[in-house]
Amino acid sequence: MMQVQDEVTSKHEPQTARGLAIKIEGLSKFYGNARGVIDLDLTVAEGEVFGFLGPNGAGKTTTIRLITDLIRPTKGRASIFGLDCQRDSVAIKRLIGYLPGELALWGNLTGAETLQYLGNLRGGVDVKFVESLAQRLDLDLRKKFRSYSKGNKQKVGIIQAVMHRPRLLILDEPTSGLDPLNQQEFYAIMREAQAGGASVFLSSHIFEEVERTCQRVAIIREGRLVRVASIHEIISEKAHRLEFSFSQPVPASEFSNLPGVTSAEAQGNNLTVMVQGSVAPVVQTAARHPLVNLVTHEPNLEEAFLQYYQRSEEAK
Amino acid sequence: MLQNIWLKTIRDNWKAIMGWGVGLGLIIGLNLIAYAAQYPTAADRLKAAQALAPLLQSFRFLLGEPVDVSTPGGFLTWRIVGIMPVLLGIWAALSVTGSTRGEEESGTADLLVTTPHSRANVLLQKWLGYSLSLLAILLLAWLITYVSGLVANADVGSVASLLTMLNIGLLAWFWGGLALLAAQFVRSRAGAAAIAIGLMLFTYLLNNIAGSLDSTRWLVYASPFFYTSINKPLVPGSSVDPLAFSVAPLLALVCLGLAVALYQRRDSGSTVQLGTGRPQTAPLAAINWRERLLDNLFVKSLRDVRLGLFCWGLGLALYCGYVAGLANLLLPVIKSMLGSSNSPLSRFAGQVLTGNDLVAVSLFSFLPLLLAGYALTQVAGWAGEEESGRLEVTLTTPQSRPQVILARFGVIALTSTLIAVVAGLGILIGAAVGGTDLDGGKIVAGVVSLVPFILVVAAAGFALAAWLQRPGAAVAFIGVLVIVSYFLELLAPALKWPTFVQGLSIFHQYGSPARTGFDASGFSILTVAAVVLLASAVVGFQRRDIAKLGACREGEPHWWLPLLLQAAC
Repeated sequence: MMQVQDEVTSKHEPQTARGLAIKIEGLSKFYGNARGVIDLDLTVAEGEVFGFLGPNGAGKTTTIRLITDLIRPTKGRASIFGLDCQRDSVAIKRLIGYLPGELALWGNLTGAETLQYLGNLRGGVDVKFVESLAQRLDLDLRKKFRSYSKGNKQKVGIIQAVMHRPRLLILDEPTSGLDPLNQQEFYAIMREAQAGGASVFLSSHIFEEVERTCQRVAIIREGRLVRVASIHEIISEKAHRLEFSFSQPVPASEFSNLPGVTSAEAQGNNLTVMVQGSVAPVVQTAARHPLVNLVTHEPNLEEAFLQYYQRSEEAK
Repeated sequence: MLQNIWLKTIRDNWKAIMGWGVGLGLIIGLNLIAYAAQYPTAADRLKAAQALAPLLQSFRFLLGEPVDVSTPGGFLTWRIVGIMPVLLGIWAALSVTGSTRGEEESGTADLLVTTPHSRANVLLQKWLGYSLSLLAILLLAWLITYVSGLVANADVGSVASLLTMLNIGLLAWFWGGLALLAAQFVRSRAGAAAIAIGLMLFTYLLNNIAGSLDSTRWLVYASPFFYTSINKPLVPGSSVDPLAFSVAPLLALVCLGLAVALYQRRDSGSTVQLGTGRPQTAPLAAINWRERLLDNLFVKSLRDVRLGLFCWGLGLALYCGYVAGLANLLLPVIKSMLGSSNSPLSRFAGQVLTGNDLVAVSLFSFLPLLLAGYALTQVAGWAGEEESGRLEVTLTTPQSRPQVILARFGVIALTSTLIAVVAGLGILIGAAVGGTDLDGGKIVAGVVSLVPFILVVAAAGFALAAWLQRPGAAVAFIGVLVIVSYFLELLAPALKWPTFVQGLSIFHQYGSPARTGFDASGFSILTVAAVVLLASAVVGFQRRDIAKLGACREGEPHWWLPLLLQAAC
């Protein structure tokens, strides 16, 4: 029988250190000689929405499986709300909601039965809340899980991850298979969870999703963390692209030595300048010439990410 | 092997081809070698045939129409050939449903039908792959049989043995066709295979039982086994009836034709719609949020195995009741047989003086092996839960790993006990109906001792699944160990191996409590072994990285199955 959550979680909720939702220290995982992740150090603050980016096989899912105690680290440790991920695994699982990247559930159970079972394993959840989530995501809970489409299966996965109002949501590619309308509804559910004080650890390939929902991101490459910073910081590292059109040719050399300029190329009356940081010196210099038009390209997370990887590839 | 669909099907089957081909060949070959060793001269064989005559008559319900067993070919026909289409039919049903409905379940069939091949083409290519795989199994088995005959100086003839394999194979081919047809009507691969296998077992028993009574003999025409049994190429002097030979392949082609026609008309991944085609769903208000069988890990596991539990319980109860009920009738025949001949049977069976002895020999020497099969299915289910990824979500709920594994094992302990009790009740009721005198205490001892036996097999499977990188491999390992253990117990006395070697067999530790009474030491050894293995499983599971190997290959026809089935026979 499903019970009302408040009755149960208040009873089980452990005393935890405030401040950090996730703390990862020197975490490594090897599968025999094969690399999983190497020396990860990472923290996620309570209430923060944290993005985890990286190409396929970089170690994102391995990291998630390590902190959810599905696999065991070769060395290092991880804690969630101050509790050790291995030693206090059961206590941690009362605090988290997890959506795996490849969701596998019981095909012979209906959506309702699946959520009821997982709710019972969590000590009971609020049925009304579950039904409201299903309604918002337009999910028919009466069908067998095996008969759901990919998107509907993902909705069951999302509901089971959030239905017990966890303090930390660990989501691996959460909008995979969802249509745009349901994606928006999922973002709304996530915002509400965050407004309620929940932290979110979000692994995603959708840059727009990470850019609009996350405060900070970590970029992982070949098992190693290569960057942890706020979205703003990462984007600001990416050069702005300014395309000037003048009424007469302007020498590029006048711009190439300005602060922040990484390249300046002139072609006829047109001039393209790449600027990292403030664009003010470039614009002021351009204003001294007969300017006809100016087009600027705002850098986004995807460009920053790609640039990061291109840089890494070149360094190899 | 990846050039087209039928080659890919053969590629998928190659392990099964080797396992079943060699397995079936060895089963026939070993029977032939044992026969030739026991009865080396024509005079010995004639004497044995006379001694076996009453037994043949009494067991016709199980082994079919009696034949002249004074020749190696005749002996093989009586002893093993009749059951071969059943063994191979199991593979055929599992193989065909795996490559068709199984692929629809996993979604790979959707990809296949979107390649430039018509649906009929896809299904026919899969059928061709299955047919050629079956042919390869038969050729392997034939080769081993023929060579065994030559080695044992009991030549059965290359053409006769080839025709026998063809006869067996054509009937198995039909069961594959029936499974293919069933797969058009049911959504799960296991369901389609179960329909075909269930019908096969029913018609097998129908042929043998109805054929043994004059009043019901007309029923045998409804069984495909009847037409196959008309031809006995291994029996010297028998002729081949081409009409009887053609019944099974004709039925197979009818099934294939119907299956192709239905597959072309229905939705991929769905079934043939017999009703209005409108989806039947309960009203939203009908959602039951208080389903008790989803309350916790234990009852959910119980919910998962309830159908299997019902089938195993009912099947065993009926079978045990049937044999116990017949024991009174068979006792005089068996007694005279064991008394009048120096057959190897007496070496294995010992003295059979009472109905209780007969039930102990005929049921309790076989029940442990059958229930080991039950334990293996449970190990396979547990391993599949992890390999499919379903365990991942469960393990991220506030359940400790020991809780998860112990809940599952607890269900096996409970269901094993229930199955053993139901089998025991079947024996007692059957004996009461048939007037067989039983020693209630000994039967209870036999039943009670089954529980730690099943748990040892299950615990060993769980332990291996916990320590191996791929948990599913535990099923094959334990399957082999059970078979080796069984033959160790069976052959060690005859081969005069040291007692401690025989003691390694779990079947030896089980002993024969239904005959000799409760064996406290064997029971304790099995119980301690089960506890130790379970502890090892818990430790291993606690430490392991949870595997995730993608779609689970549930119900893959295992190569060890023919050996297990033959050992049970």
